[in-house]
Amino acid sequence: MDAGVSRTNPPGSPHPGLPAPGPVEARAGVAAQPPRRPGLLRRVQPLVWLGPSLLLIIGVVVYPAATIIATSLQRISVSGLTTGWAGIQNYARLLAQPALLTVLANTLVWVAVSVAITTVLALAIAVLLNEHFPGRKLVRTALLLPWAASVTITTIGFKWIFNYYYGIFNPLLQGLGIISGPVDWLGNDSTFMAALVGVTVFVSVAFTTYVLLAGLQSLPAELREAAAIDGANWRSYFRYISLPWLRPYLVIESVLNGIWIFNSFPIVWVLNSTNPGYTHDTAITYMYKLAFVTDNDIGMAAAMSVLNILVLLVLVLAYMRTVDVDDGAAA
Amino acid sequence: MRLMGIERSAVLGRTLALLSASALVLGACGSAATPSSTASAGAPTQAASNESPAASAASNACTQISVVVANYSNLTAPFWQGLVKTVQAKAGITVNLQVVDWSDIHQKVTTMVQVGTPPDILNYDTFANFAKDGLLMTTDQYLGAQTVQDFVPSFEQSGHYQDKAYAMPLVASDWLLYYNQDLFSQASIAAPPTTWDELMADAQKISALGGQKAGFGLAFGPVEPQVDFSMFAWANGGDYQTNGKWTLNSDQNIQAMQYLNDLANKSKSTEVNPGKTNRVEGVWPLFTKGILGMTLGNAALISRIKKDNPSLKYGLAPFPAPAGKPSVSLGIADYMMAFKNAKCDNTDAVKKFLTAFWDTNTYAGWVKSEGFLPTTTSATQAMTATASDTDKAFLNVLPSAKFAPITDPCYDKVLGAIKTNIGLTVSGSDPKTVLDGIQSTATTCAGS
Repeated sequence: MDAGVSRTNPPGSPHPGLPAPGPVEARAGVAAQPPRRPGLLRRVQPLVWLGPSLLLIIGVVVYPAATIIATSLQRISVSGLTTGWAGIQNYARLLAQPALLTVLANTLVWVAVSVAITTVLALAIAVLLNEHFPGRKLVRTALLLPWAASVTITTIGFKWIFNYYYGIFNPLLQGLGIISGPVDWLGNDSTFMAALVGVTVFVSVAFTTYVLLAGLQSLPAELREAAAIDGANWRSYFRYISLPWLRPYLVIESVLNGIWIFNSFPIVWVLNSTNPGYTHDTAITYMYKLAFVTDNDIGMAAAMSVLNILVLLVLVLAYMRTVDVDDGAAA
Repeated sequence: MRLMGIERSAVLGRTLALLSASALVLGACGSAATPSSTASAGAPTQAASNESPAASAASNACTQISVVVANYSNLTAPFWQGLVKTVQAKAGITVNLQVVDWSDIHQKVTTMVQVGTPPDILNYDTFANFAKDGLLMTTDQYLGAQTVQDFVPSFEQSGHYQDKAYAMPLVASDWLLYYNQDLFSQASIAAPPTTWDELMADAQKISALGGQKAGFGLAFGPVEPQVDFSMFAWANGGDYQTNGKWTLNSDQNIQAMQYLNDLANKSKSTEVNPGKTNRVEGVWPLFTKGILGMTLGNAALISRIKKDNPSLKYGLAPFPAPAGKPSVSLGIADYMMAFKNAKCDNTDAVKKFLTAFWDTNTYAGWVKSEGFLPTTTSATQAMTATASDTDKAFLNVLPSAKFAPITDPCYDKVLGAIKTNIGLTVSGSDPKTVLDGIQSTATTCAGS
């Protein structure tokens, strides 16, 4: 608004002393109107339009977050009855738990390895699906199916595939000569993480492939032609054109995958359901065990929930800083 | 990206911050309302303050009650739905029924209690913590004297907390040794083992048969290992408590776990990774398919075998004990309890529902179909008349079965610690370390 500029009509003009008309009004010859201060309604207008979304965010995100923080400061009995404020006792007891470090380490390794393998695999599949070949539509649709199925059902399926006595994975590998005898994939401490990462990659590849495929499809054809003219082979083309172009897409999918995998409960819970102790638990399943299985301590589990959010926030912020996602900085 | 001018983003930012802050404050205040009403009260005052709304709401009788029951098998839900229909038609009350799996019921009930809407009637495996927090009605408030006297006395006693009856024993099971007669004759074993030495020797012989066969099926995964733990610990003369004090890491308990560790890792005569195998989805199907020589089972395994492999030749034997010690059987009872309702007086509605349920024919019919043992004398008599030999074997052991200390409010935490950790005793951890950890959970809870 131009409230700061006050030009008044000079004396001798038709309306001396009144604010001078702006350029448009002057050209059009319209009589000068006194400028209106922006009304309250005008100021509040953005809020009205944003209102429903804000309410939704507050109701679904902010209020539960506030409740969980409040819960982590309370003392809650085994039956679930809130019996008073506990200050930071829940946090103190949580940080003193011997299993906490193992659980956090498991989580970080699982998330990092799963995201890395998913990205590499998805990149390869996306490049393939970007080419034209007969049956491309069919393959693209087929790729969506594992993602469309519920994660829990997929994981239960894999749990039985990996089973020592009844699963088909062992006979398959034995038939191919890869292993000599059956292996308890979910029971052996050394093979559990591999099985977990395998299932996680299986459910994550589809989404990642589609994000990267969208990126590749948006690559202008002129670049490809120019590269061909310059004599680039597919390796240089990939390294100097595709990858830099895909950079923002790669950042998006790795952040989203990282967050989703970190928060994923069903995969770990189902695969780990027969294992005692906390050797293979991740942050989310550990929190659930604290609340409802082992300690029956909802206050301490709420503290773990807050810790999870903080860890996730720190990781995402650190990642974004490292990758430096500013529009101007890319290429 | 700059989407709007600085002034507008500042206004919106400030508004958003204000809204978030008020949401935080409201959230904190909202949940502060609950603790402040019970903060310095303690259990007795809590009970009193909960009874007065009920007394003043005497004229405000509940017409709708919520019933939460555990899912024992695929026969459970149809039975309860039928009962609900009958009660709704006869008694004119509305019943809101939920059938919940055992794996989820603890989380569900705890959440219901936390948000202040506990069920009116609950079928659960423990009750001491609810009683301690003053959430339950005593059984005399809604059960007729006749029903109370019909319970088998030892079971009825097990539903007491601090000398008041808060829970009714619902179903009972006791446990015996199942053994595969075909595998026994293949391994040239004449009779089921009666001592632990015989048990290990027999298990080794069966595992030596090859083809993935294993001698003893141990279900030490995190779902229900307390059965195997109780049986082996008690057979060796150990216990959860001695003279009212927790003794989970007693020498006899450690010895018993070491025996299992040897059975799994030295003589290698259990199924693969027994510390990581559960019962209903793991060990029992292996026994039904004839892969396991022996395992622990209650009467529910009989109907499974009938359904999945009726040609299986199996026998029942008392659980072996180390030489010179008596055989034991674990008694497990699940309970039915009624919560106080802060909004209306539910005693009448609860009474109507439970009277319909405890009717001898209804109750005995359901217990028999589920493969459990009844907790009322009348149902026991009805079932003994038509019991098969295998059923009779379980019924006979029942009066002398031993119970875990479920009336101790710390039992919930101890059970949680056992479920999560006991499998480690056979999977690479030292039994003494694991039992010491569980003992410290018990003593921390008992001391607080």
